[in-house]
Amino acid sequence: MHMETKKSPLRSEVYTVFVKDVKSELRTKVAANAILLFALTTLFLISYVIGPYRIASADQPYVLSAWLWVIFFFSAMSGLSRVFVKEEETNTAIALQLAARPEAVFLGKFFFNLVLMLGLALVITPLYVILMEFPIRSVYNFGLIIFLGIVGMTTGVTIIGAIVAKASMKGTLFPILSFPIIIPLLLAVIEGTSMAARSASFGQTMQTTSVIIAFTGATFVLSLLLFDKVWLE
Amino acid sequence: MKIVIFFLILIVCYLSFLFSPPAAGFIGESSRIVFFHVPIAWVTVLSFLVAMIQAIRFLKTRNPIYDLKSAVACRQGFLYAILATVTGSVFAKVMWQSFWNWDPRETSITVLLFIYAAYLILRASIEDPQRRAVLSSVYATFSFVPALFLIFIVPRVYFSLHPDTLINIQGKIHMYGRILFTFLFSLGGFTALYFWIYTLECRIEQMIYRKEGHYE
Amino acid sequence: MSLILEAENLCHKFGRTLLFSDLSFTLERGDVLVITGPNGSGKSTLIKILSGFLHPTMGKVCIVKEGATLGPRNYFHAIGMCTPEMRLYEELTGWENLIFFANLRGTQDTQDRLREALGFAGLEKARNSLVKVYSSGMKQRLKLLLAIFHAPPILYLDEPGSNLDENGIKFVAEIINNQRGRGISVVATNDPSEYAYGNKKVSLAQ
Repeated sequence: MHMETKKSPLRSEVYTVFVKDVKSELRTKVAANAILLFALTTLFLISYVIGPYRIASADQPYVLSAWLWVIFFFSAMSGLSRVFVKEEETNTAIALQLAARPEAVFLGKFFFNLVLMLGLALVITPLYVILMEFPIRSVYNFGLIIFLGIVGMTTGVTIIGAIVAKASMKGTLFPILSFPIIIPLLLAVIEGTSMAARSASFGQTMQTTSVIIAFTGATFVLSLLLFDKVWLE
Repeated sequence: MKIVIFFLILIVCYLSFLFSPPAAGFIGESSRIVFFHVPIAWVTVLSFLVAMIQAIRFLKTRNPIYDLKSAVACRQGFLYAILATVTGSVFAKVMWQSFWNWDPRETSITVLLFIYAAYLILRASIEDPQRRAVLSSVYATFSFVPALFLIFIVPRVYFSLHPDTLINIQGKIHMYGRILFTFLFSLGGFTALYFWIYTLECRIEQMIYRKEGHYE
Repeated sequence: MSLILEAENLCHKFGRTLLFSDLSFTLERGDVLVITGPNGSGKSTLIKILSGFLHPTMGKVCIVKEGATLGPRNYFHAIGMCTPEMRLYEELTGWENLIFFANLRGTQDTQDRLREALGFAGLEKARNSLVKVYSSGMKQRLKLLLAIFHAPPILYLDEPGSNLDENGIKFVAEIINNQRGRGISVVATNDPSEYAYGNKKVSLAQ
């Protein structure tokens, strides 16, 4: 029994890893449930305890934006490391290390995390806006900033998830390591979200948007360069 | 070497307290803290750069000595970060009557503090020396991105409470005469102090490593 | 295709314990190396070192294929490995596991050939069941299949006969036989009946 193998293109390896993770997730639903449940509980807590009426209307855009991103950040912390931690804990990492290129593993799992977080944002953002009566001038700008911020956040923490998978105390270590990395992004994106909510013009959010895009680009490139050292260790 | 440094620091103290006059625009004598706070903050950043460079060298060569040096730089940088935060906070209390304001520069130093702390916690949570070295070096290198953003981009972009004398949009230095001299002298003195303590601890750690076969 | 696996002065310490030192050997196409030794003597560690998953404390391992030394990036494509530690994706079916690794490796073969491969491993009937419900023997056979289906020049087997019945052991024998024609095999085992596979031996007994 003998089969010919020729190295498959990166694109198809990434796709294979991505599809496998999606299939696994659909069958077990662990990560999606963790993220969604965390986000919903925090959202309801904030809505109940603070609610739309305790915040002065001048402060509303900024404070509400900040709370939204706090929810996103901690939801990310409760679910985005699973994609790597599971491979280590179930000992499937070795076979994957043998069969796939490290870049393909990173990209496939990155896209998986991205889909997870974008799905979360799609569910939580409207709910948040409704429950907290968040006044939004331009839905389009608001949506764009949220999208860019989620992409940036996922890019910043995916490799941290890979690092944490190889250490102990994975659950607590993930936020500890991610927080310093993600702060510049959070500052920019909270500012950007509140500006997008207040005004309808895109030009005004240009500065924060460029910070977000620069952050995303830099962390993405650096993650690709460093990932194989983490993964193959 | 240590005699030289001792006298350097002594001179810094003399200069900052007796030689240079208090600066205008500050409350009373409080401007003197700039001669200590800013060099310490600078050393914190310098230490981070050293840690990162050693980490990259480790990742390239896999020589554990570089990882050892990187860890030393992070441990020391952590202490300097605490000192910088405390001196800054004291100054803030005198100048603006509140210990903390979350102005961008203050935020930057706390984030550096968190990066150092996270690095040390990461190291503590991995037993295997090889894995510990690789993962902490990767983290040190990766955290260059947020450090870069916070040290250079954020303060330029956002409004800051920090005095404009050296941290301003045009990047010009507005200090003159004795103050400038004292400041530069202090900057040099603290940098020399940093490198002296750093090389000392590196040598000690290397001796321990050679003798015991492992290091933290 | 010329193929050489060379181990030079391998020495490895686990914490303070010295597992082995001054281990050197050269393997060529057609060789089967059997590593023996009691539990804890470092057989699995040696397999990890030889396959590139662990850096030895001292010494080095060299793989030369057709005159070119394989660097770390090209290493893993040239090997197949089956160890007791490795696990399959239990939430996927046997077939899904095979297709997953086949797609990653870039196999040119059709679905029919892959089904044939499953049949060769005796897993044809169970291919659409989740690996979670496989017996330990079936899991072992699937692991072995995944180690060889991409025709690797070098095969590493750590306790290949564990959990296997008589048919399973025949499967292992056939695999090693096939591999003799194709390249190099390294087998770490406690089982005396497997010693016969090898034409070269390394004993890690203290």
